[in-house]
Amino acid sequence: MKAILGIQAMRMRKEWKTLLTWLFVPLLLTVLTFNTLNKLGDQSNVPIGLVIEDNSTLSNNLVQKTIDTDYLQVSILNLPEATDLLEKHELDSVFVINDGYEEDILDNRRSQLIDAYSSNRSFAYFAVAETISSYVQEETTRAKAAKEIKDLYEKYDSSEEWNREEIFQTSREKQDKKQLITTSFSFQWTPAETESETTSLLSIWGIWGFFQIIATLFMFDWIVKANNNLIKVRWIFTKISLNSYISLNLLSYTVLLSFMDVVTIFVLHLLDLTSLSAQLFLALFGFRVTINILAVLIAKNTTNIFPYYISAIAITLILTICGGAFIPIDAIINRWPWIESFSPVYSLIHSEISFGFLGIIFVLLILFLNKGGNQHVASEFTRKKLS
Amino acid sequence: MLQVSSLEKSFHNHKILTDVNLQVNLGEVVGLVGENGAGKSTLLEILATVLPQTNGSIVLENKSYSTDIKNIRKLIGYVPQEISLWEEFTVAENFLFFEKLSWKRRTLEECKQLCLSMQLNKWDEPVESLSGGMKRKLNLAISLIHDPILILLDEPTVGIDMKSKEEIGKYLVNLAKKEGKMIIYTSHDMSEITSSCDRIYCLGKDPFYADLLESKGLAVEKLE
Repeated sequence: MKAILGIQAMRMRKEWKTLLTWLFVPLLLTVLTFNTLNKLGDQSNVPIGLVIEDNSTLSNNLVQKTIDTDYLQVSILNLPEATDLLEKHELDSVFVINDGYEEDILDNRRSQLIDAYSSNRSFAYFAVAETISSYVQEETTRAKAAKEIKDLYEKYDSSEEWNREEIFQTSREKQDKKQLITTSFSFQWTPAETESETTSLLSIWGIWGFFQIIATLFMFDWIVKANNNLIKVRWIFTKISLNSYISLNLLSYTVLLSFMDVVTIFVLHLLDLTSLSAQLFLALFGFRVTINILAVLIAKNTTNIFPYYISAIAITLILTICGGAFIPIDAIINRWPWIESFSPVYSLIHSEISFGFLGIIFVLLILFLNKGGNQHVASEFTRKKLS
Repeated sequence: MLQVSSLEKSFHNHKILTDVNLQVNLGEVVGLVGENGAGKSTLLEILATVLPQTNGSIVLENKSYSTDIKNIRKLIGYVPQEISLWEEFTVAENFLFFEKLSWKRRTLEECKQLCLSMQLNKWDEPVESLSGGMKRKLNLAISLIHDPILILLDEPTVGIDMKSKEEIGKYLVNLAKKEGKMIIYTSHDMSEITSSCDRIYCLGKDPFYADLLESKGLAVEKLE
């Protein structure tokens, strides 16, 4: 082990730039890709104009809620500007929060709160109008509820003093805590139905998995170089066999890369792109072991560097596409759930370990490392005879 | 001493070597000649434990190849025909790499001395920038790190200039005579063979090489 560490230290001193690149590039590219794709997503949002004629708390709430809505790109404008842009088809639709919006809601008047404008090319108008209507509906319902509560207190001469703002606030808090629409109910003594998981189109771990597989495979090219037909013959006359050299290096690379994976989790957590959990750490370690073993198996069976790099790219694409990194494959997994345990990328995205895949490649690793062994290893060589 | 008796080698029922018998004593330089395809490299690979023999026995320093292969390898230095080095590493790094994997530990100074003894003085140069002759010398030097007793060289001077050829030849003779090593090497260069070797084995059915050497008054032992 001391000899291996000595050799590895020498290699790292010589190739430290390459090593650092492969260690950090997956994390950097993941953050870059994720942010770029999200920005592109923002640009593909529906552009709408919002004209605010009422300067009140409730109108501000509505504006904020509209801005926070996914898939909407909101511009705050005055009416002439907004209608001008609508005529030029630069906006899909325009919504005007009329003067007296808050007053009308509080007085339980529900008509003519919002004016809407659309053009003959407003493809998303109805969807956006429905969304904004639902936000207004929430406020009017809250106002009605507040009025009813106050009436009840007055009817029963309650000493407690409730004002409208408190009722609104309590109502919002309740709504935030309890998403009634998505709450599932079950009968007593029957197991609670788990909420079906929804996978977003882009998974940070899917993107990271793609870059990490390719980086790991490229990083393990030292095996191909050591396994090269020209160098291979030297391993017969060394105290450590090529297989032992590979096994010990696999161990040291796994330690190094696992440390880097932990750094990755913390960086992504700091950037608010993932949440920390013990399950995620375990899944990532399982993924790391799987990919490292896979890299050894591929590299050990390749003697030329160029075909190895081509295979590395192809295998990365197959694993990530089939693992649902770019296109969700939940429908396929729902139909054939066993696929999950054979897809390292899918398992990583769902914070699990692909035990089926890991088991198979682990057995293959044991078989390959014991193959050939100590005796006449050169019978595997390509024989280039000149005489 | 190396003793080879009734050695046979076949590939897919095709006989390459038939009833090969040879003996090499300590301090001897033995040449192996023969036409292309005669089996010179195959014989060297068998002696180097790179290939297994089909039949026959090989004994090196009272150790049998069929029972004690791990210990026998410690006694062998094999210099393949191809340059088996890390091309992107320097001479020093190549030494460091193979020294750490070697059965025998060598100091940095000893490794440098090994290089200098065969006129290889580019310690910090990357291998890829060395001349053919320098690469050949390094190829040989790396094979000697563990101080083997039997040195097998497969055309060690192919494609290099006369000066490097002579330096390698002198070094090998010196190694055999002063340090008592057994050296077997193959070559197509008859002047190199005649100047360096104590004995010559001719392999194959073509009498050309044997006749040529005998016409120069040299004793040639024929192997089938």
